Amino acid sequence: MSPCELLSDRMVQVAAGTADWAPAEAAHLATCADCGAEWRLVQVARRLGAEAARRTNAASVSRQVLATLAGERRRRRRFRVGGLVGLAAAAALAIMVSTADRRGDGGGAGSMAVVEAAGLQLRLAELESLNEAELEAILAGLDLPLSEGAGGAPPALGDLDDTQLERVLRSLEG
Amino acid sequence: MPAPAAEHTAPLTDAALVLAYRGGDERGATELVTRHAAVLARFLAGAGGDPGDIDDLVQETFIRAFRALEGWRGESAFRSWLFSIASNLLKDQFRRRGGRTMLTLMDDDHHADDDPAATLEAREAARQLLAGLGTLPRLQREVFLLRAQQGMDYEAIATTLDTTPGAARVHYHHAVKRLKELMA
Repeated sequence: MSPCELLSDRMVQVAAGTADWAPAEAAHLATCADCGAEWRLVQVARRLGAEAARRTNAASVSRQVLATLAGERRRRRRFRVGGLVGLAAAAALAIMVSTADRRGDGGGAGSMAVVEAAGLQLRLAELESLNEAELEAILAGLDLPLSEGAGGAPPALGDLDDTQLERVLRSLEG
Repeated sequence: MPAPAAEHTAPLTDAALVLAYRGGDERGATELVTRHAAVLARFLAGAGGDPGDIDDLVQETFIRAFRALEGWRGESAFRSWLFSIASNLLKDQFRRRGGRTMLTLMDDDHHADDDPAATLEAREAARQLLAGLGTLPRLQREVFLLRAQQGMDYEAIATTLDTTPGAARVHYHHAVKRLKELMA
């Protein structure tokens, strides 16, 4: 046989002081062993832990909780700042490496310049065989603005005079 | 944020205090602790928290709650949510103890009134109840306490302990039946 639970749902309200037993309920409670035993349980349970509650210092708990959380926030901030510094350092390193690489390319360009310079020296060595008038003609050509000189379109062979054609032939033969 | 309770005639709701704390006002947290710390301590003491650890458990419950405030969407009462966190803490403690539940009567839990006989009787009843609670499965024990000690309805208990109201009712009646047998 299942125990009587007639007053079970009402017990919590009455124990909390938010309701009173109706006369019929009180009469049932006085005669029902099941409900009487449950009511005693609820009353004892209501008092359980009262001392723990009394000993709890909410202000102290609150201070500790807030201090712990503030400490965690500080650590998180420090970690974030550390992360940002790390990122910044990594970015700076990447820029340095990239710059060095470009300098390396520049070094390549420098090497090219050397090659070109070497080429120029070779050409200059050839220039040694030229007479003074020919050298002056070349120098005059170098003095021209880029658009008219080396950077401009090369003159057609048909436009050159005999001396210039011979000079070109000599430079091709080495 | 407007200041919590002190500067208002009507106390702010828990949800408003949570909102205030999330907005950076620590008074919101202080007020929430003031409101719920004692109730939480009662529950923890009844549910198997070591009497020497109750304050630490209360603190840890609030710390976990404030850390995870985004997880509380206000569908359940803030207090129910705290009980839920406290219940998980007790579960962890229970595991650490190797499955043993320790329920200890504190000095004044038995206090009834100035009548020595009544005090003695109340003390004995409290001792028996604690002993009985210690023999119950964890869920039955917590359902019983949330219902009988805290006065929560089955809906709220179900939300707190992640079960259904029907299951919570069944757990409660099983607990009552077992405790009545033990205390008879």
